[in-house]
Amino acid sequence: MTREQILRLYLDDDKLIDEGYLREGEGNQAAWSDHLNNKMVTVIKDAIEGVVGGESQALMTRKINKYLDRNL
Amino acid sequence: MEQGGRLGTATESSSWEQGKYFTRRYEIYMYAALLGLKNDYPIKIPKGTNKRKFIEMQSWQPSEITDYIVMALFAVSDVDLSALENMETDEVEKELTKLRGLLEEYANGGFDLIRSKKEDDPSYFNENENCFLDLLD
Amino acid sequence: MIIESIEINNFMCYSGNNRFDFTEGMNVIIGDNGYGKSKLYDAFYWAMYDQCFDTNEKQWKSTRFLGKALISDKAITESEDGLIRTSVRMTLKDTDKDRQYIVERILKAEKREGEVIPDNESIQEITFRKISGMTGKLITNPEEIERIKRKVLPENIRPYMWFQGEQVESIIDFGESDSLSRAINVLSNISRFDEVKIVADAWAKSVGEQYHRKVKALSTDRDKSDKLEVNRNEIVARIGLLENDIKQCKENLGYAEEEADKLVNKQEDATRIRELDVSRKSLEKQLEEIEEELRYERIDLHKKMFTNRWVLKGSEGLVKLFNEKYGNYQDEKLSKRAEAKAKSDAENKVLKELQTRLPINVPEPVFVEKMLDQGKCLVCDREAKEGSEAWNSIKQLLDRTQEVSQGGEEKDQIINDFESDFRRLSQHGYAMEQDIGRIDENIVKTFTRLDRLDKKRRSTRDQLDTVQKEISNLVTESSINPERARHLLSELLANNDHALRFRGNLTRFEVELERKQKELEKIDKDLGELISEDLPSWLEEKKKLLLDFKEIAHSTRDRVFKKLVKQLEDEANNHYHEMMQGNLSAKGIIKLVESTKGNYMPRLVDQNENPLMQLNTGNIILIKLATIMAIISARQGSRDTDLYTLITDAPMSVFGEDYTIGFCKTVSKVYRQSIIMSKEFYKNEALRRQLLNDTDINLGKVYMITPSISENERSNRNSLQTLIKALN
Repeated sequence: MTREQILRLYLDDDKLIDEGYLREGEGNQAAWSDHLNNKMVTVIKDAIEGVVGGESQALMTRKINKYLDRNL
Repeated sequence: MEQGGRLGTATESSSWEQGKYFTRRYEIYMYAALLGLKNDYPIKIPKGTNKRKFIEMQSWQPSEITDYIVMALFAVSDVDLSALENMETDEVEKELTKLRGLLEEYANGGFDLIRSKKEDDPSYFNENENCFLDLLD
Repeated sequence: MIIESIEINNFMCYSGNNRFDFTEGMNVIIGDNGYGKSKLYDAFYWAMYDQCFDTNEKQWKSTRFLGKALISDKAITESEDGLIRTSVRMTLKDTDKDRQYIVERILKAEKREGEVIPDNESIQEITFRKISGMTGKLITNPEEIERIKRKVLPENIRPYMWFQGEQVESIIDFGESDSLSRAINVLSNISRFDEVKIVADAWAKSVGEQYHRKVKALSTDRDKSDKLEVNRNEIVARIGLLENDIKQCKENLGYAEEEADKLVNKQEDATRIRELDVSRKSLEKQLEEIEEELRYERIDLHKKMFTNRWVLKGSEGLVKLFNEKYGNYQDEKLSKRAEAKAKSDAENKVLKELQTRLPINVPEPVFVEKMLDQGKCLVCDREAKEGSEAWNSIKQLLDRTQEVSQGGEEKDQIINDFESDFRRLSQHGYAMEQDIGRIDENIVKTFTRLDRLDKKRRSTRDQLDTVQKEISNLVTESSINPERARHLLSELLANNDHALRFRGNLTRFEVELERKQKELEKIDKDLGELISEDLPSWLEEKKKLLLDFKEIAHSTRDRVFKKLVKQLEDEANNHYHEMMQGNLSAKGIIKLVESTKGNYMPRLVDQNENPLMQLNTGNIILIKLATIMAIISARQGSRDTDLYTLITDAPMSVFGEDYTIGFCKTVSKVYRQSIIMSKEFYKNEALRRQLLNDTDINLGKVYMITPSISENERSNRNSLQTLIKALN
């Protein structure tokens, strides 16, 4: 399965629409490079990339913190 | 009574292997005697041959067969029944001894028949469960 | 790649040089049990992977452990001192590119003074050549070797493409969560989703702790928040334990449910086994009784020689002879007696005459003597002086009387009276004669009885053999032995008790977990209320994102998994129904149903999803085969069934004739090349003909193999070789 295929399966989840991360229909046809500004989509992509790339847990956690933390 | 001589001993071993056919020693003797009598085949035992003893004829079982053998011996011998009645005791004894001798001869003949069968067909007694029965035919 | 041929030399029961050629389509090797089918399978496996399956110990063994067992006994016996070479050589064709590969494994052994010492390791050589060219090139690069072997058969799909009938049960052991996941994984790579799940969990946990730390830091009442913290830690710890307990419970419950399922499925087979076992015991007892009776009769038979007078057979002549003699003896005796009687009659007559001279009341001798003494006739009272005529007459009378009485006795006198003995002998002879007449009849009767008994014994023996065979077949196929069969029901009940207990515990734990989680929430809330200012928005956002992501990761994984299971289910059903074609007795749909443990169990249901029937071993194996095929054929975007060969000796006997042909049709359609070992076509000629003639079956080569020695003589394996005959 390609990254894109995997992504689409995640974006197909109802939760995304319920919590307002995506609008209906936006998810399952998305290309990998779409929704670059969408935080949830980015989180998902980061997870997929990390797993497919074989990154360590520690590294992945550091990366996600880097993305989501806003330390003053 | 004494058992027949060397012509008889040839078959001894095979009979005792088949201990199951004859449970008493004298039984095979009876069998051989009747076989000889039926086939009218007496064989004299040469003088001086070794004879083996076993129990008295009186004790042979079943008594009907024993009596039958006695009858047969009278039948085939040249003893005159009425003459017998007029003999003195020692003469009678002599005749009875003659009869005993006859018994031995016929038994001997019977053993010879058995031995010859064994020679012709070595496996006959080993393979055939009913060998002795068939021999009577 | 397509397998073009296999050459088997001095390998197990294949002594000398043996060769099978294969084409596309379904190739079939037909032979009875023990004829060499599984050794053929071993040949393929050994050539590629240096392993053979030990059916007794049910495990794979390498050359190192098999050693001499790999070498043909005949080869060992017949070769002289020196080198013995065992080899298996597979020729494969890469259909995409026009080239051939040869995979050969060789085991060398040395024979010295009658002893055979094989090498510890075998050697594998892989040669590559273009078909058009003649010389092959030996491949030495280990990576290249691995690549080629993967091209022959990739590791992850190996279990589903090359398998023995006995392994069917375990390849897809639906009770093992691993088993189905592995299968699903082959179907499509689900592992990614599992990994993402783990990552999501870790991230959620991390942000949770981060958040909590921040809350603590912003607390206005240190003491209170510390106290709450202590409490909180306890609760978190407790939650951790509960979660573990719940996991354990679910697992236990899952096992119990699977066991129950297995047991229920085995119920039918177990009942049958139990019935058969009872029947076997009774037959054994019967046989024992008959054999005892026979033995007794046989012994009795020999006794009959004497007790039933058989020894007298045919000797009636002797009786006749004796009775002739006896007859003569009797005649003589009779005539003597007649003579004597005549004499005595004559005497009596004289006497009577004498007596008439005297008056009627004739005096008794005593009286007559008295008369003589007195010299006087006392009858007529006349004088009769001694010497006178009258006196002489009287004396005469007395003398005569005495003479008569004495004479009869004297004439009758013999020395020994053997009459009663002779008579006894004669009567006895007659009696025996009667018996002798009946001897033949008696003998026939006895032998008829013996014969009858013997027939009875043989028929009971045959029945017993049949039952024992049936039991052992059933036991092998269903893996229940008679001992277990008897206790299956109680096993089932015990199991249900366990399940009940686990369920009870589970509920308890879950209830407590909920309570603890609520407590945790409350404490968090309390802690939250202690803070002076709002938490940073990015943190709130981060928390929400990652918690939501955790949920998404879990639910997506489950969704994908379920979809794959459905896909597998659908594909399995396609195969299953094709194999069932034309058979009305077992309709139904395969449904893979999720259990507590998270596993999937196969059920056969009707359109309304009601369970159709209990599955017996035959059903289960068919379903598993259908599933195994589905795993491969359903792989999206792959050409596995085109690229790789199915090699199996699937136990078709379990399903019966109709399904066997259906199975063959399906297999020949799904796989570009398959090599099937079968015993079903061995005995059943009609089925064999069907196989050879059915146009729906895409047939490759068909071979029949037979051993050179029959089953009974198998103890001497030194001349065993396998005879291969091509049927088409």
